[in-house]
Amino acid sequence: MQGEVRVAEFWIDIVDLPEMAQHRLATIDPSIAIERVDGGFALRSETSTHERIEDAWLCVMTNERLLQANAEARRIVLAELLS
Amino acid sequence: MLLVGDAGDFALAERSMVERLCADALTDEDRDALSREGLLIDDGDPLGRVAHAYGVAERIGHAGALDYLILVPTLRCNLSCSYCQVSRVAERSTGFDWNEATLAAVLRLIDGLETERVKIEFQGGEPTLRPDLIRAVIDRCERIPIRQFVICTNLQRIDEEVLALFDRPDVFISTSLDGDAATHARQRTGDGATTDAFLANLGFVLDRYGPTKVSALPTVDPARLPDMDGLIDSYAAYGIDGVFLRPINYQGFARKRHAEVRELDAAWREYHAAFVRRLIERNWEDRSRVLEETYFSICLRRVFQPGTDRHVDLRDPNPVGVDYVVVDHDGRVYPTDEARMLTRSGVIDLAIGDVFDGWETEARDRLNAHATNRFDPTCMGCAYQPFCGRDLVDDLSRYGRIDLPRHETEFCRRHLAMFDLVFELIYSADPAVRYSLARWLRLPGTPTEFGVRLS
Repeated sequence: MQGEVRVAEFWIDIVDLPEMAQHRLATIDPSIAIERVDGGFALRSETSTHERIEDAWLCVMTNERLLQANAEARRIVLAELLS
Repeated sequence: MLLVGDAGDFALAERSMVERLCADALTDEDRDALSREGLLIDDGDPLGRVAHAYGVAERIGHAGALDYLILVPTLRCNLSCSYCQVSRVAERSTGFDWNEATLAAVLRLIDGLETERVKIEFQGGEPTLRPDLIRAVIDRCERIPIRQFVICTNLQRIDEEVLALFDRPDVFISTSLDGDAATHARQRTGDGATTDAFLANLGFVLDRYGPTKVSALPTVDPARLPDMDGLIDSYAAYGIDGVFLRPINYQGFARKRHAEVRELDAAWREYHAAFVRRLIERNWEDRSRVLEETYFSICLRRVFQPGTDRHVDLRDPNPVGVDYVVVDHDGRVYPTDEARMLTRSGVIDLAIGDVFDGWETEARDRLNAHATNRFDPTCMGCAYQPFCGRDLVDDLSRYGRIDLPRHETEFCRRHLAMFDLVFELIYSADPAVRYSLARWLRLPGTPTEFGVRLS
């Protein structure tokens, strides 16, 4: 008997998905595939749940915001320590 | 969701808090909770900034003076394992041992060490084929106050000269035990009689010295994953509590004969996780001994004990040719044993110099310019960055380059899975899990929790 593959899906309505965000998503959950659809992107996975995909996307967005907000402070700390 | 700071502080947060963090809409309560865990520093908190910087500094590895040598006095070996981790030649071959000039150069190298402690690992080939060379090195280290020598041997033959070396209190024995006798014979020795000789010798050295002086590790074929309890029992039967679950290394001769192991798949990672969980169950059932999977423990300790940097396969930065080097049978110097294997396999020449003229070369500096994950764009956004590391040679081995996006590398996938498991267990409420984690962290008691939860 043929097994049924369930694909969980989560749509995000943004125009552009930076490559780095795609990398982060792959790091957080490698099972998530990204596909451009009308008006945004669809995140799909055969093994993760809708909720988990949603969580992964929230992590990516939070990560991006914090990385940008803290970039300068982070650079200063590392520069001092590594100099 | 897991929040991790650059200094390795971490806490588990509710989704609602992460949503507020994402929207830059933290409440005062959120800010207080995050500050308490070292995950947020207010602008007007100079002490907090210093503490954070100190925490980050503790996470940065510091390769000190050269004090760890891996020496290959001979490439000859009396076994021919299909997945030989290192390159080897037949026992009767000539021209594959240190000659007088090489020995003299190695002894000069030892004379020049400027440390109070030294660790020397004798690899091969089978180093016990040349006990005279081992003894010459050990004798030369007498002036160094703290010494440790590890002889990595297949324990097929122990003659009087080798036994005299083993008897030294500063000498430790490291060997390979692939599981039960049938598995060991299939993968390593090739026949029952040779396996019996090894097992008899293993029993002999364990009876004579006890398990603190003798360590063993299995090489596991990911295509034929062994029964977990069988593997654990084969170690436990000899009184050895630590099992370093090591898949066939994609280097050396294994590269040719086991090409499928370039990428370890989900099956291997699931096996490893299940193995760790099985150890947890067994530790809980029988608390008279603590079994552990060594690499998992190394990763666990890197979360809680910054500065656990002497496992040179997992640290950051991980510069090569600074605090440890490998000196091959011909005097050439390599940054790691894996680099030696790759060179021997004809993949790429990763020698950074030689024991005669040194290795502070441009080749070494070129490698070391990329020896950190600190500025890698993928790693900078990874929650596990403070605990993880960098292994340039592993990347070169598998892909011939070091600039692949990190998440596309086996090193990254393996450690993502490993730290996923570490944090899953850290936040487990199961008392059996907490019991094993505490033992693996060498704690005298068992904490009621290993990680904070923020609401």
